[in-house]
Amino acid sequence: MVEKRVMIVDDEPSIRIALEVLLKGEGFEVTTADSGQKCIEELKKGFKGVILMDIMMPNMDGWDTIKEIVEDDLLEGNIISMLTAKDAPDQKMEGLQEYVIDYITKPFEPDELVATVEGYLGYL
Amino acid sequence: MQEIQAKDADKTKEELINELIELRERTGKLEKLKEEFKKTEEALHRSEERFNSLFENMVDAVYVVSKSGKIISVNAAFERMTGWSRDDLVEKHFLPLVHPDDLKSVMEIIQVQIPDMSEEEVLRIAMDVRFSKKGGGYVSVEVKMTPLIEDGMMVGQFGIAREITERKRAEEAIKQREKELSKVREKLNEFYRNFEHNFEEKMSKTENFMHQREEFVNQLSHDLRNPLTSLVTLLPIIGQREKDPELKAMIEVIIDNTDFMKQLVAKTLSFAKLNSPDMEFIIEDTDVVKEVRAIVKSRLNIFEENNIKVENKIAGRTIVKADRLVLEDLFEHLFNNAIKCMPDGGTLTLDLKKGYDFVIISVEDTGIGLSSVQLNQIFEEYYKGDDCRYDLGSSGLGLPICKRIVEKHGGVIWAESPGKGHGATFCFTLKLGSG
Repeated sequence: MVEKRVMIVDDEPSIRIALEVLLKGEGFEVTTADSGQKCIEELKKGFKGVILMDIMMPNMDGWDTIKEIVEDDLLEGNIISMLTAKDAPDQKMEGLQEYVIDYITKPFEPDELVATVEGYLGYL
Repeated sequence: MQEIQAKDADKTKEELINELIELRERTGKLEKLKEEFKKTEEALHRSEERFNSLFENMVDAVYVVSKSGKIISVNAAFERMTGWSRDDLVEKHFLPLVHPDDLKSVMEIIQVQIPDMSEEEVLRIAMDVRFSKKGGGYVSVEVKMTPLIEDGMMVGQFGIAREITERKRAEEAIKQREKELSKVREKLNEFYRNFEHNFEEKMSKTENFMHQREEFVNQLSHDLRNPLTSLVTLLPIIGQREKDPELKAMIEVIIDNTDFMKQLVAKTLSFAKLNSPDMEFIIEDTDVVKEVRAIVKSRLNIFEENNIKVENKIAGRTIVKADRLVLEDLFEHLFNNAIKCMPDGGTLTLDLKKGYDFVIISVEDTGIGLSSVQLNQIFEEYYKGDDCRYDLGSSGLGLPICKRIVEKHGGVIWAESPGKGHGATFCFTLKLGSG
């Protein structure tokens, strides 16, 4: 059985808490990171699983974080899906999209989100 | 005496008679001549009188000046016009009569131009001069000149001065009017320029304002996404965990409201997306019949829940030019609208009519219907005038989104209704595709 591990990377505490409560309720082991740097730290500590990454974060945004993950060779054993509040495509995503499996638009349906994240587990 | 007598005596009586007759004839001729002379003199006198009378009674002011410029004669009209009497003027030089500013041009004409001119040329001269008036002021006249010729030499001039003060005044008035007109024109131009400028400024302000409004709504929607995400995620969990039925009911109310806010945000953003120039449609040949069937099928349970019977008359195969995903959104919005308009259930009828190069698709409900006012406003953003849209399920954006989608496909959308309580039909056109 695949371990249901997920990391929520979002600078917004309410999102972190909401997703943590939701996914924990569905049997996930949840790690939270309030910044890109924290995410890298967790990966360096050995996190493996689904990463739900907010795009818009101060200092180091979602795309900067992915760039560093790739450069630091930390992608192995992880699946990244972007959390976005934007519909318009981002200039910065050029060349980085291939490391991303999906986009989840906020606000999402809780049930759908759980189903989607569980679906990612199959790719791990 | 004796000799004469002798001579006479020598003449015959007959000869004497002849001489006498001759003498008488001569005397007669002389008398005749004398009479003729008298007649001529009289005629001359009459002619002179006539001339004087003519000269005197001419309506135009007339003057005669000698070659040296001395005034020889003026007529009554001249006196009336200038106020100067004959005694004031005759034997005086005419130059002091002329306005100082006109002297130069008058001298130029009289002393330089006229001496080299033929009589006809002189007759053609019309010179505008101002003559001084007795007691001050000037009278503007146009002078026409006739040279006085004696023995082939010009000895003076005969001038007719026609008062043109009125004309001058009219000319001045015209000039003044032209000046005023050009001022008005300038003011008008300035006004127009200002107007144009202000209009452009106002337009750009309005555009800015509209843009800002749109930006604000979009930004607000974006900003609401994060808090809404946590609300829609956490509230159902709280509701599940809560045991107190009263609190559970309250949480349900909050969840419904939060869901409405979520939908409003989603629709606002999808509307903004439709308005955005970045939004690209993938318009391709699509079998609209197949699409409609699939969309209806996927919503059958919703129709059933709402006690709505669906009559789908769209059958066969009809290829239109459409973006399939957007077309699905369009039907979803129209179906949701119809469901809301039939709170007690009813029938939803779908039909398709083919035109020359387009199709008309109609979505007809048996719901609450629309007034003529509502028919005109129903596609406006955030309009919620109709009775079925004040509930929480309505954002006021569903139909504007439909309108935008149809327009982006190059079609038109409209609503028809026989009136309140008689249902409504929403029709839209799509271009026929190939195949």
